[in-house]
Amino acid sequence: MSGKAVRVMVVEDESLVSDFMAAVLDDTLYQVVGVAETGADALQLAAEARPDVALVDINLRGGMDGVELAAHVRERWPSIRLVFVSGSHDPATRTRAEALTPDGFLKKPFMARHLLAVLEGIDRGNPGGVG
Amino acid sequence: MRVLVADDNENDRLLAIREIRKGYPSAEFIQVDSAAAFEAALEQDGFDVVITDYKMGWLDGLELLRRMKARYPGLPVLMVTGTGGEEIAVEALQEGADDYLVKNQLRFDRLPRAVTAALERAHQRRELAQAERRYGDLFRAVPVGLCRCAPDGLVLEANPTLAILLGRAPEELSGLRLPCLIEEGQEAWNAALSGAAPEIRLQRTDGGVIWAVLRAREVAADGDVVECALTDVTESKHAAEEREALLGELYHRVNNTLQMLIGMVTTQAGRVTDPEVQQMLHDLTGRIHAISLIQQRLYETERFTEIDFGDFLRDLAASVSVAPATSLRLDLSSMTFAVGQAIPLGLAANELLTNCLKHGFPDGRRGEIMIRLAREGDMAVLEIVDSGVGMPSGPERREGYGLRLLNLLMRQARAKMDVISTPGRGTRTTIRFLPGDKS
Repeated sequence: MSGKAVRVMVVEDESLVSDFMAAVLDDTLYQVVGVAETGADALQLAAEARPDVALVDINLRGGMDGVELAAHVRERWPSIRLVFVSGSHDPATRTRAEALTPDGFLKKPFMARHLLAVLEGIDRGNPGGVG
Repeated sequence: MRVLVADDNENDRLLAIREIRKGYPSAEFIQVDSAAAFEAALEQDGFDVVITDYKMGWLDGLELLRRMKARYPGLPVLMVTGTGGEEIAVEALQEGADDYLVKNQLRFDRLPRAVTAALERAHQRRELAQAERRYGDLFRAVPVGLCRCAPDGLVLEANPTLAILLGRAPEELSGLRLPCLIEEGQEAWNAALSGAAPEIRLQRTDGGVIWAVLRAREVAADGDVVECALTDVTESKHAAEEREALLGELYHRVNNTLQMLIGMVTTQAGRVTDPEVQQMLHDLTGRIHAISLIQQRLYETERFTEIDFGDFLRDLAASVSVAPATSLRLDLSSMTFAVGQAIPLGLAANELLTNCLKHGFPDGRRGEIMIRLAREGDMAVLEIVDSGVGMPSGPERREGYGLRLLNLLMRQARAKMDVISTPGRGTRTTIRFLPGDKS
């Protein structure tokens, strides 16, 4: 995933946060191809935009949480790299999330450099991310 | 003491009375020598002991024994038999007589001792019955589910509370295996047998769910019986779950709020052109993030009022961005500080570390930063040492707000900070404080 732009889909229902992510990734080799606020919207966005990376907040409003969404994404588009974003600390949810062996995990609150570090970590094949 | 003496022979009655009086001078005697007298005596309660001849013209002694025992089960009855009356004696004992005396040997000299022994036994029986009743009542009414089981959990006997807890009729429980009645029962059963007190979840037949703590004890003396107690903890469990959910929600909310703050400040920083303002805004997001690391430690370790500051420093070190030429070394003891002290100290550590990274190693200069946390006597020492370029002295000292902030943080943490900086050789900042002083 080096050279040309890496296409990133942001799934986040707090627009202040998704706007921050888009601002951070602006002028980098990461290109935000779209923002979805619910799991259903995210599936549609993924089908249309075919991103390289999905940044998925675990706590989403609507019937599908981020882990369920990620499971669908993994099943339908196994090549999409998966980074979970979460401000919660629920061991059961964390276990469910880890079962999908995500490519990164970003704890909220994060700073601009943490977001970039977790995305760069994917390139280096270094899952885990910040925190 | 009231003694009933039933005998056809008046001499024998008087002989018996005289003997008993030797031991019980104030005893009261009711003599019975006819069916009518016996019927009348039977209606009076309050006898302490009965002495009856075996052979009476108006009533068989065994029959008298049976009728007395039917009416007053605890009342001791002594049977007097003729010589060679062993078979009768055995029968009398089987019917509940306390003792028997042979008339011919007699002159009744054994009688007072026999009465004393019978009274003592009757007293013990009463005590035992009372104790059994008391413990029986306790077993039935105690608000803890109790049962006796075989080692595999087969219920032998259960109290009504257990039946209520399990949502079943008491008579249904006997013959069922307790582990089969609870979720993940076999695991809980094994844990309880090994001395743990597992918390179990019970799906009741009415659809309700309760939480209980299971305790079990093997009673070796009782032939492989296990005594079990199930304590209902549903209410406190629900309260704890509510508290946990609330805290989880609060935690999530605080993290999201801090995220929004960091997001807003960062986005705004991207829109200003003055690099100094940009740097100020960037430093601000670092401070917000440092505070978030402390509150994450508070929540995730579930201690809420104190944190392991060594662990926090490790988190902080992992979250900063270190240039490839700089190495970051940690020498951290595990030390716990109250949150009121941890926040200013954590912010101070962030400030010092950020300064080192920002100014200590310009133009890709190689070097090392060391963070040390140690105990020195009563005092805690936090030290940040770098091998960088050192700080300029005099009026050009930089970081106007940074320095002011550090001084404020030292005051808040009741700590003292010393800085030794040698141009070209690096900076050593030492913070000393008395840990745990919350006053």
